[in-house]
Amino acid sequence: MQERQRPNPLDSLFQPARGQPDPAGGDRLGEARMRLAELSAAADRVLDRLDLGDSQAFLEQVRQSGGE
Amino acid sequence: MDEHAVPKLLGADIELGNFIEGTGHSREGSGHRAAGLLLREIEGVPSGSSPTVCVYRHTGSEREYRWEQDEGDDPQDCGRRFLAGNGGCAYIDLGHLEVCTPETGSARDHVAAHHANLVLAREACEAANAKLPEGQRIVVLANNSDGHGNSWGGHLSMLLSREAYSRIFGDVYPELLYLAAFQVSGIVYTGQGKVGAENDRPATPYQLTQRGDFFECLVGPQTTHYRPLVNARDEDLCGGWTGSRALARLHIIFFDTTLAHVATYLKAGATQIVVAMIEARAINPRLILERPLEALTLWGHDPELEARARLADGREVTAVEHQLLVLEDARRFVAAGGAAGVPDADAILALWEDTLARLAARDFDTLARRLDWVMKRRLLERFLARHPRLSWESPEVKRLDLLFASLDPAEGLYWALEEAGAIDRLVGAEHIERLRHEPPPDTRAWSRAMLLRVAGRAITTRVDWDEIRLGPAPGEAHSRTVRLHHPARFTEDQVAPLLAGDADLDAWVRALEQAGEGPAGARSGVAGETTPTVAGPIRLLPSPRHH
Repeated sequence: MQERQRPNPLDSLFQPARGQPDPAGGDRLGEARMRLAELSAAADRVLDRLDLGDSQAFLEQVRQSGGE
Repeated sequence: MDEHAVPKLLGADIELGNFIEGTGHSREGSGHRAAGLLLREIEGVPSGSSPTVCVYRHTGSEREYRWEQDEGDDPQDCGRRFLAGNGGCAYIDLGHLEVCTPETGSARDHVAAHHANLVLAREACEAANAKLPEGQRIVVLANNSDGHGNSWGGHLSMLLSREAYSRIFGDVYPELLYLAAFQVSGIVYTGQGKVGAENDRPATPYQLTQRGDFFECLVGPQTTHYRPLVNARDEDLCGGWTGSRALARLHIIFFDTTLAHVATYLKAGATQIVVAMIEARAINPRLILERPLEALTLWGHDPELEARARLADGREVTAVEHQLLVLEDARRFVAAGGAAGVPDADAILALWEDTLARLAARDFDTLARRLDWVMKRRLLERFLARHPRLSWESPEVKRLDLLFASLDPAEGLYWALEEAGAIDRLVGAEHIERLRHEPPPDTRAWSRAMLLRVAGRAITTRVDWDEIRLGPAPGEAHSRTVRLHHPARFTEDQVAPLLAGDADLDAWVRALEQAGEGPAGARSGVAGETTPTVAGPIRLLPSPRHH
């Protein structure tokens, strides 16, 4: 008798991406990994649009008092 | 199920970096002025403890404003106002805007309340910037260090029994050392990540935490200098000596401010379980670190996660291995029914275990969606690969490190990732929006917010977390004090049935007095009075396109 495959309990923690069907086999973890490519693209977009011109001046202006 | 378990209610004080771009730079910076302008945009009921505070007077000089304090004001508690929306508060602490979440029952609500307060700060920033002269702009950072050796906090508060609190800070303190060890190895998921080192620590290109370089001793009540791993500030916010002496508040100053949902959830949820283990005397002293401060630098300065530190029993372990050992004990504890005061303990364990397994396997692809320090490192490495002339020491890289946590969605790297669907979310935009404007229904924050709405500013003469003083109104001889001493009481389920449709202020006061009656303290069956708002397993939500 074939052993029934146990579901990954973590898959219940994930939801499929918005507007996307539930991935085959309910492998939401795998599906999440596929979306990693989006991270790189998003990173490039934001990094490209930032003006990092005078970063030294920016760093000087950040100076804070200690807190808490 | 232990009906006497103290609910591990959560709260957070999110202190923010704030400065004004475009005003030049000075030794003291523009933080004080920025904080004053931000707080002015946050509406709330004044606490009454510091009525005239944070005065910025125009001087006509290049710096335009001067920071002044009126006599008696506390520079660490300026202009505090409580929010009739969600029951939290906002104030200025040493030149930083500080936004405090209302008390929440579950780690998941904590994540939503945390982000709701960041939205509050962002909206204040946008309103303040609209009034600034052209060329000037307030920048608000949800981080903990400016790169110049200054740090500010992101504190986590947790309700626990007075008995457990006394053991943590007693004469023989395995509990304190265990808590310290758990916090220190926990940086593998609680760190925001930082470029460089500060406070005379060894140079490093990139480290796991914002705060790690600033801890210098094991325990103490202080927060602004010689910072302790375990903070001993004993303010229960449960009525003090007039309230329940069965309860206490653990004030945890160690953790970084995080933005990633999973990191924020695990920071709160894993700590809830560990504090419950301490309360139940279920800790394993063999997991105490021989030298926790040294371990913090060793582990914190090693993003490859290979460094080993020695345990009290002589074993040498990595930070991830240490967390796995704590998790093993936590699993047994929860399975035995020990975590009755922690909502969704099984879900916390599942995500904790999965995240540690991925850390052990160096599965940084997945972790870049969950943990701040991993996603920030990924971004910076990608940036450096595209700009081979630059290095980790370049000001551009440090600037990006800081901008990761900017609340401005146009430049905040975290928000760009979230917008792109590159972050695993545990709470949706509607959950955050609800806790931006409404209090959690399962803690006393609900009654605080509702009473403030009914009473309004005119009648409310003093507000604190555990009591509200009203009046005296015209024609009345005395003021009235409404006591909200037990954080897990005064919930919507408990109080709403005591009120008729359009209840006036007197009816609210009577209902709250009635709700506060009965035996006080952790052993009064209060756990049965709480109503966790989140049941069942947590679910990671797809990122929104519009937040």
